[in-house]
Amino acid sequence: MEILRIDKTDRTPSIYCNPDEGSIEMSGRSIPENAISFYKQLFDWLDQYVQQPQGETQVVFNLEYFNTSSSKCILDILRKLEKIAESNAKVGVKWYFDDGDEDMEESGNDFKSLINLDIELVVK
Amino acid sequence: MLNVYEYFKKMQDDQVILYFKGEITNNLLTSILQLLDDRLERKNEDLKVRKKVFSVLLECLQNIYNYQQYQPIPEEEAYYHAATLMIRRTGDAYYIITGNYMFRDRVTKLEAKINKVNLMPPEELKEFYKQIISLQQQTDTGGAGLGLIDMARKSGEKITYSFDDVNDKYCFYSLQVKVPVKSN
Repeated sequence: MEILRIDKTDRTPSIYCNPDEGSIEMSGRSIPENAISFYKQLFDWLDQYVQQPQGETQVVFNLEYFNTSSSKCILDILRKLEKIAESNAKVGVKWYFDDGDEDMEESGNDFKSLINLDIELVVK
Repeated sequence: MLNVYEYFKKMQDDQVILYFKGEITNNLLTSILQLLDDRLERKNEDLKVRKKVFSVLLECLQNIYNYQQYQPIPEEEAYYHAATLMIRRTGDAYYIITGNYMFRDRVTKLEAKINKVNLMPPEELKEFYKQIISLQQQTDTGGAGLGLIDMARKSGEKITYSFDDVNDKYCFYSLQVKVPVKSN
């Protein structure tokens, strides 16, 4: 499997996925009007990774803003990661938010309650 | 010449800090958001408030944009492509206000959606949000139908709206979302 690297833009986050390290990270803004087409590459990468995951996978969401179109995609990403956890491999998710950004913290909690994964909320 | 001072004075008296009229495009959306973000940062506005204003504006503009993609207004009626955006800053709140032309036949459905969201207390809104986000299919406007719920959650106040009659085919849809400045 190959490393997936996407540079950030004004509207989309940087994405870095390394299959050998078992690390998945996204950082920046996620506000594209069509989030599904942006996240397609990551979905495809994850579908492959889920077949042969590392014993431990570390996932980092470090988002400044995300729109509602992206929120559905984030849930889909977490659902794919859930499959890894079901196959007895470890998955740790860190959800970063700025100190005082209660909406971003709340979003982390929303996902936490929808997904059966170890999601840790971390103040930046 | 137009009476520029009259326009300006009206906006200043109404505490409008940002005004735009024209067609909403993707590049414009990014520029307006950047402009607003810079301005609020320079004013040392509270991070929480800044993020709320930004998010609400984002959803408002993307709602208009998505609606126009879904139900395009024909080229020969380009007059109705124009939309407007206003941001007001009063002593205790920011108001994000948008206005755009819309086909009249959509009013009933949209009004029902807003009224439903307006009736929900915060906890119910949160559950509603989670329920919609978990659905597989997208709504008929292309988006996930989450925009209004998200705005209501971030605002914590009721969404205000009106539909002005234009002609047999179109009406003008105005939407206002308040973001209080003082924390509760």
